[in-house]
Amino acid sequence: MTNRNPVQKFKERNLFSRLKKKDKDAFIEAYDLYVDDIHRFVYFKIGNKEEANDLTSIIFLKTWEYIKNNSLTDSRTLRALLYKVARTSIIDYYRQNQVVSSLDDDKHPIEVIDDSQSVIEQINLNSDLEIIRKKLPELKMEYREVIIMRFINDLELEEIAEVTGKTKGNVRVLLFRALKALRELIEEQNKNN
Amino acid sequence: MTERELIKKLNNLQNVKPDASWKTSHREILLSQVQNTCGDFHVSVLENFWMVTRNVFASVPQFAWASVAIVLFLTTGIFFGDRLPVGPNNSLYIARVISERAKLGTMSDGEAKSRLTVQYASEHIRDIASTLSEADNNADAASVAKLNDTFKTEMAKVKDNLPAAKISDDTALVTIADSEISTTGLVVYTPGSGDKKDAVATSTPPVVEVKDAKVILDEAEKLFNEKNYSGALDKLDEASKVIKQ
Repeated sequence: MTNRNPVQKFKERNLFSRLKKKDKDAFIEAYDLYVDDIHRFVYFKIGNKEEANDLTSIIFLKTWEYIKNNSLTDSRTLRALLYKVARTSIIDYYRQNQVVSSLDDDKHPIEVIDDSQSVIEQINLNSDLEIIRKKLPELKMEYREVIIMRFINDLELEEIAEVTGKTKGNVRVLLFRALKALRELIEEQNKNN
Repeated sequence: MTERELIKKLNNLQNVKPDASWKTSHREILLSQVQNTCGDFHVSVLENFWMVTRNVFASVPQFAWASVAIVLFLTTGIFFGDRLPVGPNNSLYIARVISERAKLGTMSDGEAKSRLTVQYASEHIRDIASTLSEADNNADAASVAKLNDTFKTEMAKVKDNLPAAKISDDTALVTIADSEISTTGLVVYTPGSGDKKDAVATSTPPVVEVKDAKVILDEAEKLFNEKNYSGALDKLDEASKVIKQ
């Protein structure tokens, strides 16, 4: 896991300060910076690529509406704000659609966009993805959420705590249990194979 | 599968990204929607400066700032500390001592090092004597005792380094400014009198008016022990002149 360096942190803070002043250009820069992360978060939570696209669009529009109408004093970082909006949007989505959690089915395989990867890396990634694709939806929603935020999208514990409204200690415990549960699911599958 | 392996596999999923074409098209839609809302954004130069400064301070961890402060303090102390006009009771005195020790540590020439040691130690002695002479009767007994001990240590340091610094041998004699060469030999003037008398031979040593530095220091130490700080200071001034020659 990589921690963000001070330069990245400065860039993010500066962007957030500009957004507090309702800077439109800063919002487009924020989109460029976070669209991949938010899309990935949504995708791994709802498991459907097309719907992840639509929901990501809605999340960014809702975030801009929120920025326009609020002073942003209730969020410490821009990332935390985006994830909070993403989380509530996903909850709304579930309420409206009553969908069963699953990642894309075999007829619609997940597309991995990364030209820099070698063929072997690509195969490994697809194999990892296959495991997650099958096992992640079997986890409890709150386990799945913290795993995505911490280990896939690289959020800090403080940010996860802010997004989920839990304490840092609770998040740590939740992460430990979530990882244990996922590992047990994968080992169970390996035994069956 | 270990926990570490599982985390690594999860980290690999960071490479899952949306289609570039979708990102571009959505960006344009978002840009047009955002541009159609609320007024223009204006930030003054001063406001922008404060915003950037605040964010720089907030982005760098506190321990990094603390490290920078410590390095600056030490650097300033090493390069400028020995020029600080501070006495033993001042909190910056430690910076001065560190600076002096750093300078002594970098010197390889034994004689020059001894000379500098003598110079620093005699300055410390002067500072201590000066501090004690200014201290009133209500001064803290413990700190006075500590200064007394430091005085003795510094005095011993000066005396130990005097031979190595080659000060006493050269300066035990009266300076040549009080003499002149004549056809009959070395003509010596008694300092201050203005009278001249011919020397018997050129090998005759000149009149010695300046005492050996060690003798002066002994006298200063004696006066210090008798708590005659002003007398000790006078003697130390005299010794300083000899040492600096």
